[in-house]
Amino acid sequence: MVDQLTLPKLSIVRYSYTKATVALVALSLMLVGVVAWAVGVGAVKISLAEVWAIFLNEIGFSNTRFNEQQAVILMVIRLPRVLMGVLVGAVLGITGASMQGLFRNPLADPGLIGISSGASLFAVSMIVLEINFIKELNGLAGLYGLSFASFFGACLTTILVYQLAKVGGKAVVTTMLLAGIAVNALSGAVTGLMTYLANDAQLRSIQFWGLGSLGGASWDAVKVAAPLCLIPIVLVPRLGKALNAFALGESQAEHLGINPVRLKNQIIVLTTLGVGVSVALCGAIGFVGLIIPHIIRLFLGADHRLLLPASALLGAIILTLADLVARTLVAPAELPIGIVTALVGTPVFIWILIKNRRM
Amino acid sequence: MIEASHIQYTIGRKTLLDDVSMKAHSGELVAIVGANGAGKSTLLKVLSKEINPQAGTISFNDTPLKHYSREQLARFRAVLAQQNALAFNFNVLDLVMMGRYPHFNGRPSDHDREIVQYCLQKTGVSHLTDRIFMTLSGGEQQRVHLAKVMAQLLDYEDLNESTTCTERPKYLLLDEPITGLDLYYQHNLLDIAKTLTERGFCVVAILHDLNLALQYAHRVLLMKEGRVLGFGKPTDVLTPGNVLHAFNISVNLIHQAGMECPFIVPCKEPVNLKPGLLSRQSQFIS
Repeated sequence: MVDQLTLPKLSIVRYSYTKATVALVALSLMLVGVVAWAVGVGAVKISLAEVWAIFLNEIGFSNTRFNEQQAVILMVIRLPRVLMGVLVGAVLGITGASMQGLFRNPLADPGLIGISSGASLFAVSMIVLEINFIKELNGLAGLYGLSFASFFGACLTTILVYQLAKVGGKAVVTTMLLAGIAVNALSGAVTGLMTYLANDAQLRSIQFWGLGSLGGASWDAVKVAAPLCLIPIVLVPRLGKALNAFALGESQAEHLGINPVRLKNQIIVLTTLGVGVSVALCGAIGFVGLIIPHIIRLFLGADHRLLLPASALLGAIILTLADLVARTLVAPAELPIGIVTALVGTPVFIWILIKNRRM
Repeated sequence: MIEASHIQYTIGRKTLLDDVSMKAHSGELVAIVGANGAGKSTLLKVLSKEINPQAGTISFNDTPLKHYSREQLARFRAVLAQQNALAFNFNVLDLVMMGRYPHFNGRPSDHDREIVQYCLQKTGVSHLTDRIFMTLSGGEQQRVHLAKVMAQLLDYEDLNESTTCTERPKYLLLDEPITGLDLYYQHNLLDIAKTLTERGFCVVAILHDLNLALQYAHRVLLMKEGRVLGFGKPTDVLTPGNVLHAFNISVNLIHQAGMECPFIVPCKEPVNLKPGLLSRQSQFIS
C-alpha cells in the first residue's frame, strides 16, 4: 500500500475526444457525399459535376453545364425527397438512441411508447372510415389531413402511455414499458379491425402507409417536417451527460445532480414531436431507430455525448441510401422503404453481431 | 457536519426509522451497523435525499437538506450505492468521468481529467481504464465506483495530498462499500475512506463487519429495528451486551496486548479464551 501514498504521475487521456471528433467529422462528410450522390441517381442521371453546377446556379452563379430538365428534376423532385430522408433518418436515429438510454434497454425504440402504433391507428381509421367528419377534415386540410390525424394519434397514445405509467405522480420506466406494450397491442388490434373492414383500394394504401415511403415528399412536406425534426436533432444531444448518468439507474443519476423527471419529460416530448411528424409524413419506417444506435455503440462506445449526434448522422445516411434503393430497384415502381431497411439492414446487423461475438 | 434529528420514516404501517438522531462531523468516519432490516440503508437513503422522512430534520453544514438543490448537493455529497448495474457498454474511464458531471458543462477540463486519473490510481484500477465496465469482476466494479464517487468530491487542489479540504465540507455516503471486495481491497477501501476523513471529509458508511467498524470508525451508530441502540465511540457501543441485543448472538471482545483495538469473536456460549489457545490451534492447522 506504500506505493499508493506517493503522488502518482498524472497522464491525461485525450483519446476519447479525438475519437469523437474524428467520428463525427467522418460521418458528416459521408452524409454530404451520400446526399450529393443520391440526388443524382434515378431515371434521369445527374453527375456530381452537374449537381454542383445546378447548386451554384441556384445561389446566383450563372452556369450552363447542365440542362433545364435536370435542374427541374433535381430541385423539384429529388432534393426535397432526399432532404426528407435526411431529416427523418436523423430523427429516427437520435430518438432511438435516446429512448434506449431512457429505458436503459438496448431493445427500446421510439415505437415503444406508442408513437408509431397510435399514428398508424389514426391514419388507418382515416383511410377506412369514410364518415362525414373525416371527409370534411380531408376537405379542409387537403392532402395533409392524413398526416394531421396520425400526428394527433401519435401524441394521444404517447400521453396515454405516460399517464398510465405514473405511480404516485412519477412516471416509472418499467411501468412505462408495460403500458407501452399494452397500448401498442390495443391500437394494433383496432388497426387490425380497420384493416378487416377495408376494401381493396383502402388495403393497398394501408399497406403502403404501414411500411413507409418517402414518395410523398415535396417542399411543402419538408417545410412542415424541418422545424419539428430539427428541434429534437438540436436539443437531444444536449441530454447526453444526463443520459449517461441515467445508465447508472435513477437514484444514482439523482446523486449526480440529474433530475430524472425532467429528463424523462424532455425525451418523451422531443421524441413524440420528431417521430410523430416523420411517421405522419412518411409512414412507420421500422428498424432504423432500433439498429442505428446499436451500430454506433459497437464501433464508438456507449457515451451518449457521442452516440446521440452520431446516431443522427448515421440514421440520415442509412435512410437516404435505403430510399435510393427503394426508388431505383424496381423502377419505375417503388418499394416501400420499410422493406428495404429491414431486408438490407438485418443481415448487416446480424453480421456485426456475429463478428462482435467472436471478438 | 451532517446532523439528523428525530427522523421518522414509515411505509404503510411499518416503521422503518423511529426517532433516529445522529451527527457526523467533518473529519469523522461514522459506521452504521446493525442486523439485516435494522434500517441502515433507509437511514442512508434519507441522508442522501433519496427519500423524505415523515418527521425529523436533516441538515448538512447547518443548512437543512431540503434547501439544497440536486445540483448543489451533487457537488459536495457523493453516494456509493449497493446496486451497481450499468446499462450499455461504458468503459471504465467514461464511468469515472461521470463523477465529474456536476462540475462541468459540455466538455471536461484538463483538471477534471487529472482528477479522474488520480482517483483511478488511488483505487488501483488505472490499468482497467479502457475495459468495458460490465466485463469486470464484482470487486473491480466496486473499486471503479469508488473512483467515481471520489472524482465527484475532489477538487483539483485536493490532488496535492499535503493539504486538507476543510474549507468546502464534503460528504461521502457508503452503502456496504466492501461487499464483494477481497481482504486486501476491503482494507484498501477503508484506508482510502479514512485518509479522506483525515483531510476533512465526512464519511458515513454502512458496515457489516464489526471488527472493521472497530478498526476504522471514529464513531459507530448501532441500529436495531429502526431505532438507535447506541451511538458513540466504537468500543463504547460495540459491547458484547449491545451486540447480543442487536444481532442476537453472543460475542467475546478480545483485546490483545500490542493491538490498537479489540476484536470481536462470535461464540455460541460465552467462553473465556485462554491466551495461547488461538496460537496452538493455528499450529495444528498449519
